[in-house]
Amino acid sequence: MYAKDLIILFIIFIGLLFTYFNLLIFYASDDKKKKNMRDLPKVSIIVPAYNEEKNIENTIKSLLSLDYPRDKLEIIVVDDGSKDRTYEVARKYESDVLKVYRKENGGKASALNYGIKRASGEFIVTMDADSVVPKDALKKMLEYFDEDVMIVVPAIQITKVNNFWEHLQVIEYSYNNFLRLIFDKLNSIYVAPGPFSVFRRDFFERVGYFDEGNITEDMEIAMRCQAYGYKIRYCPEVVVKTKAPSSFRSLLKQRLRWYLGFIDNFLVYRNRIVNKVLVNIVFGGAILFIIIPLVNLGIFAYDIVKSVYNSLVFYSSIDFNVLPLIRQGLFDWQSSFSYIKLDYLSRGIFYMFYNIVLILTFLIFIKKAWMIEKVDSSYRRILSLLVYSFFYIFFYSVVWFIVILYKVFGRELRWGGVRWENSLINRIWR
Amino acid sequence: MGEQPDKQNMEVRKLFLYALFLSILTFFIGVYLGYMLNRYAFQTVYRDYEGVRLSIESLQYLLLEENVCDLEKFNLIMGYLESLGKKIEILQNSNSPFISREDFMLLKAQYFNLEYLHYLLAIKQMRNCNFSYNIILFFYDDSIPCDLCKRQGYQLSLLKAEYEDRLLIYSFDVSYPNTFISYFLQKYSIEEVPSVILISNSTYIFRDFIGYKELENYLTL
Repeated sequence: MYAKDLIILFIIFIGLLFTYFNLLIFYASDDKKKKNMRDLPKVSIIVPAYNEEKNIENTIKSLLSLDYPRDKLEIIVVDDGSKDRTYEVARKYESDVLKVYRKENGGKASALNYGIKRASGEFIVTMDADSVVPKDALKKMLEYFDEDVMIVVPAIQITKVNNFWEHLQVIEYSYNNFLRLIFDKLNSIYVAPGPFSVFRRDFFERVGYFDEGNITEDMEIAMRCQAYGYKIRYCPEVVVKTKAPSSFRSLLKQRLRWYLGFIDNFLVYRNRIVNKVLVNIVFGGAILFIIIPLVNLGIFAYDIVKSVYNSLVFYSSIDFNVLPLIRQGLFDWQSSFSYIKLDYLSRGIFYMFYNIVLILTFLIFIKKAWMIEKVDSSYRRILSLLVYSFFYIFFYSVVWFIVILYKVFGRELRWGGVRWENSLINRIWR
Repeated sequence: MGEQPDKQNMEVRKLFLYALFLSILTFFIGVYLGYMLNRYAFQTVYRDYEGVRLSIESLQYLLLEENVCDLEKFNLIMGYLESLGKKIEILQNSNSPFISREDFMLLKAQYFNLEYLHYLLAIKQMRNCNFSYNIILFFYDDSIPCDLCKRQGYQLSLLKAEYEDRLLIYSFDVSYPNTFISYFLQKYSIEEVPSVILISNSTYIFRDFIGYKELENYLTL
């Protein structure tokens, strides 16, 4: 066997291990209960916004449609120095319930903190200005606040699926909605997503506000919560819809930020987090599933280069005189088919068995996720599933390759008012 | 506040061990499946070998005893022989851990014997039946890195595709212990690979790489 085959088999084994583990965790019972809220608490929803004139109106309308007593609801929109008409659009909805503030550009975390400091609610909700929520979201999520729960997070899905990049993301979001079920059972949720995460107000008083220098403040606050030993719960009944990047460039920029943020926050918190399951299994699994696609990419690139090189050597040695060979191949197509069959039987077949197992279990996970998301037109999702199956691993590997390069050699990454300069090169030169 | 309950840790550890067990079980089912299918692939090729051997032997008896010249059958068997060679090459390239090196070497050595039998049949037909062929004996060595051998093989593949039934190519790996291979190496004083012997209206020996264009000039068409 070639070394490459052994590497692939090892990767398959790791894939099987985590797949079975996720399945067993999913079907394991847990003792978490929901709380019936008799007296509804006052809730403040903070909506930081930067250049969201096209989206903020829908966000505000969905918040104003929430099924929640008006006297217990407070919506605070913080315009973070937008260069468009975000502030003017939001101000149209100003009322007793909704207040709009404007501040100098300082980044999303600074806008959130600005809003939290002016909020009067017992619970604080963060809300992205390009997202919409179902009417019953708030009441359902509040039911998950046991005594030791500090944060409750929702399921997230993208608003529209029109092009290739959105097809790629919709299944990814579904899979993440499933994975959150697993992480929830392991008390290992490590991101409080921007769209509609609910916090106890005194959580910020105990651990501090959002880190204004962090490019993934939602991940940092959740990891900080875990480091303090507080609990984060997942409310799968609430599916918040958010706008997703619809081009490769904007998607790459988003993922650069997410994954660089993961690396930075992981390095800070891996020794501080009390929950060893989160550190060893969840983070360990996350690291493995970064390395594995990169290794796959390497093997794929090696195979492509070797194949192209061998083809060039072959065709150049016969002066690219391929017509007789093509004629021979077309005439003898039945033999060609038997060669392919033999090659498969002698080389690839037992990989196919593992792939079938992995694919079937993945489909179970996606089916569970679609039940959470109450997917009604599954035929469109089947197209998304096909796009995801063929392209996602390649896309994910390429993005992580770029992230690693950026982490080592990158100069800076700007996001809103935040500047990331935490690459290895910058740290050496400082 | 903040202490991970030991009970949950134990539960997670237990589930992880179950997952490990299931993974190992699945893995070995796959390995067993791979073993069964690889053996099936090998036996399929071996049955093909037996079929070609029977065909060559029966044609040989027909020619020797009955002096029957059957060009169509001869060419058909040549096709089967080439196909068998291709399948053995596929098995070799798969580098499967389920096919023992000894089994594979035996099959390949038997294949070279078949090629030699077919070659003798070709020579016989040229004499007795007045058939005219261009015969190439190609010597290479797979036990050492030999880029020239690969390139030479490409040249011959192109020639074969161009001239099909008018050209018979027999390829022999000199690292195999077949007696006739040693005999040819001695007869034609071949010490290096690749080497090509072309038998057409005369016998030409090329003890180095030769391109297909140059080789084409020596063919009798």
